[in-house]
Amino acid sequence: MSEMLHAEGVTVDYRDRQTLRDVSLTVGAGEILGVVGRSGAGKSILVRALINLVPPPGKLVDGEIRAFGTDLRAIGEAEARSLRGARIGVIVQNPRGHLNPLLRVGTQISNVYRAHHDATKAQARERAISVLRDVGIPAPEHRYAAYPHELSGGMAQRAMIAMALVCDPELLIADEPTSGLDVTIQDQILKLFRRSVDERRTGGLLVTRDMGIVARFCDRVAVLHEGEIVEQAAVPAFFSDAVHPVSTRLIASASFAADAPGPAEVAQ
Amino acid sequence: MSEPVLEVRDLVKEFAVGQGQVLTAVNRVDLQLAPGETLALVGESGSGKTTVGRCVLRLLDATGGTIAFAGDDVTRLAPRRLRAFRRQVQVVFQDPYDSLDPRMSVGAIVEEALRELTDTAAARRGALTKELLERVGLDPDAARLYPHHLTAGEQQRVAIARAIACDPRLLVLDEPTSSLDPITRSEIIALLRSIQAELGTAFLFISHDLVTVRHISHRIAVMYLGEVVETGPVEAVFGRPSHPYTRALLASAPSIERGREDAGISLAGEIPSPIDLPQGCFLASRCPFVLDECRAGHPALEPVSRVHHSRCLRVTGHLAPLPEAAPESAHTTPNGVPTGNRKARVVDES
Amino acid sequence: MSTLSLRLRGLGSFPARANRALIAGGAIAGLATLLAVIGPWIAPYSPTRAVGGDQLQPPSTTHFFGTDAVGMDVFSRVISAPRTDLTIALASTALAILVGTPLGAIAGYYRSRWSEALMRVSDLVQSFPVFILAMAAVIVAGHDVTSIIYVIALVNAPIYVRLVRAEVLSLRERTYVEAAVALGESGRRVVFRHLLPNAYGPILSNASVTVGMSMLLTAGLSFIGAGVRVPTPEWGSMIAIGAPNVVTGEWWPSVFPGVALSITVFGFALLGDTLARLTDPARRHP
Repeated sequence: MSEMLHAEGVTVDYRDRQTLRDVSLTVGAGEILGVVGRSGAGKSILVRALINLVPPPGKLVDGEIRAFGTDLRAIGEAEARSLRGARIGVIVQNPRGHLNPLLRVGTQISNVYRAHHDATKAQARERAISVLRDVGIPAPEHRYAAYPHELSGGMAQRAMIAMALVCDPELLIADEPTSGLDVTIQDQILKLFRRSVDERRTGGLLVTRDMGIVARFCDRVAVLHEGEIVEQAAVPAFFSDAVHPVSTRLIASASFAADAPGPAEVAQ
Repeated sequence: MSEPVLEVRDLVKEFAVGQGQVLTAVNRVDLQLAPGETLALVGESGSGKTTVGRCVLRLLDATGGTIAFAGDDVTRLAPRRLRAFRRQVQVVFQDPYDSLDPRMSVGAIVEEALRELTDTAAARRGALTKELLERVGLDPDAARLYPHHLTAGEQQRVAIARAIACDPRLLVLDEPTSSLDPITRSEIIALLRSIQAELGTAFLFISHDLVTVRHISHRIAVMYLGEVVETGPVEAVFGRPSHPYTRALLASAPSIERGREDAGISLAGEIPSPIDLPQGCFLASRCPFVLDECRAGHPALEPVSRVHHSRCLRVTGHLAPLPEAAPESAHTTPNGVPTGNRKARVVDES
Repeated sequence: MSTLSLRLRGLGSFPARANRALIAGGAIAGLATLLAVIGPWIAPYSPTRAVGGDQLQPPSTTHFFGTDAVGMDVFSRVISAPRTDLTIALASTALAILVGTPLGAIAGYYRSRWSEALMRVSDLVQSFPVFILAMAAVIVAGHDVTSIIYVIALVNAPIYVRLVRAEVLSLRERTYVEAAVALGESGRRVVFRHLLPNAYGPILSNASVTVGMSMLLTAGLSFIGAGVRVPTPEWGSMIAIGAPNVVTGEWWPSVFPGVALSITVFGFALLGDTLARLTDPARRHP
């Protein structure tokens, strides 16, 4: 099976602390890998490391990262940039920080498309509207012309997701893409990811805090704890046979199983 | 039930928006809370649940209806007269850091509650603060720290300590765990349950997270577009969801128990505008089970059982019953992607 | 709670970078204040009377900064001037803040017709060219130090009304303000206990700038003859009086007071900015 992403021994330093230590994982074609962990475990840094964009003063000091077989640390910045835009879609937290407040949302999405495809303005606009519709933004033809500040938080987030999807990336790396969104919208978007991965045999890496999302949408899961991967398994096996204490705690807390039965059960 | 701690009748809250239009955030909501029980108010953005919470707390003035606390009507009380009320009804907010004054130490934050809302002597407040901090699972020495020194979970514990300082009979919790990671979330829920067991406080638990709500609530009210569409004991509503919206919410919430299984109920399109509400059932434009009669008149909340109520005409017996699975929906495009119903008016979700 | 002891230990610490700025600013401001107090006493010559016949002498061992056109020792005048300059600057800034802050806070918290009216009055005052307004006010009120203090305070107060109102407007949306209301706190308590203390930072930063600007304004007023009367030593008037001599090559009567003024303004700016950063508990330990 072709590997969309292969990372081995990834180590990131941040001001003489190791925020990631010897992290190895793979994302195959047609599968979604979930990455879970507590706050501060290093999930967001991992996303940046995997696309070789660790912000200073952090530094990627060791490790091999291959996307579609290409070593991301060996190629030049221009080639890396074209890979990142066209074949790797990245969704980060804080959507508003990543939308240019001076440009209309639709224009920004079209620009991404035209940067990597030979397309006219009209074609790019069509594509942008279509992808805005896919992420569930109502009246996308009108929203195309909106500025980021005119959108609610949830809409801005969806616009960001649209921007990552517009070039039909083969690998999608998403850092808590749906946190804060209504559950019905979250469902719609994650189903969109799943459909894309299943139908087009693409790959996805999904950082999330929600174990339910892992159970429902991921094929494999890796648990990150204090910069290290402490457990990695296929999803059904993970939920039944997880061994590491962090894993079992995450699973237990998600179903509140560690506690006494809920008040309703006690009352009955 | 014995005298309810909170009784809300016909609550209406309207906001004036530009050009003389009116946004109805809360549309004739009835709620009742018995002493020591937890009522969950569940819904997505735009449901009005947060606004209901603010009205109950008298942080907003209701446009219509009544709010009665322990039998006393507090709907129109002037701020000055609310002192006694404030001693009995407190709040925990969603963003733990934002709800704490960054310039005040943890101890000062809790002491302020003691000073404003209790008759504790000044000399005693320090000791009582430490007891409260211990009660919520914090080291009493943390009183000297400032909010930015604490993790989100610890900050929320401080907020809870502040809220229970006056031993209130009712605690309104507005998405108290939504911004916390799952492990912290389960710890805070455990803390809240132990506090309820010990102090007998009633909780109005506002949340969009059905999984969490199940583990702390006795009863649940599901809200959509400003009104309650289903209400009942929590296991009844989860076990026998009696409204298409509830079913859709449950189907969208991923959980470990359900895993990959797809319940298949989803809502098409977008939520209608709260400025221009539809005539019939509010869900008609998106409901996979809609019939023509649903658009005729606005359905009332009617019993499904003695304690379980629903607004769906197909559940309360007026129309053909709901099927188990969703029909081939007329609302989806051929490749299965839900489209907007072009006739429905659309609005920003915020 | 893990790491509690670590966090408690961090409470009293002082971020290193702030140290240098604080020392530098504090030293300059401290020196200026010291001179304000003892300047005239330690001056080698009288700062207000000419030393018979030695006009426009260049800097030398007897006259460190030389003498001016009238024959007064420039050094003595430069170190005696802070008593005037600093008094005016600090007093007027303090007055502007004391008046402007509560007004701004009330205008920001209670949104009513009075708030709007207040803002329009404030706008009116601010829309006059500062200099013209100050000149006109001084002509009406008189040339003495007290009047100048009131005038400069008047000119600067709208800055604080606007600044504090803006801070309060944004802070009142914060959840902890809602929490305070839910605790039953009165409006007044919310404003003075929760809103204003969180506005100290911008006020302090601005105060240091205002102190500097006041000194420059005083200097400017003196330059055109609307400030303190001659022969009171004041950096601005010294620059003004010495200006005609610069073209003929006698630079020292203007340049020394000019340099002293610049350094002092800079020192206060540094001090105020660092204090603003240090008094904000969150910014202290990022």
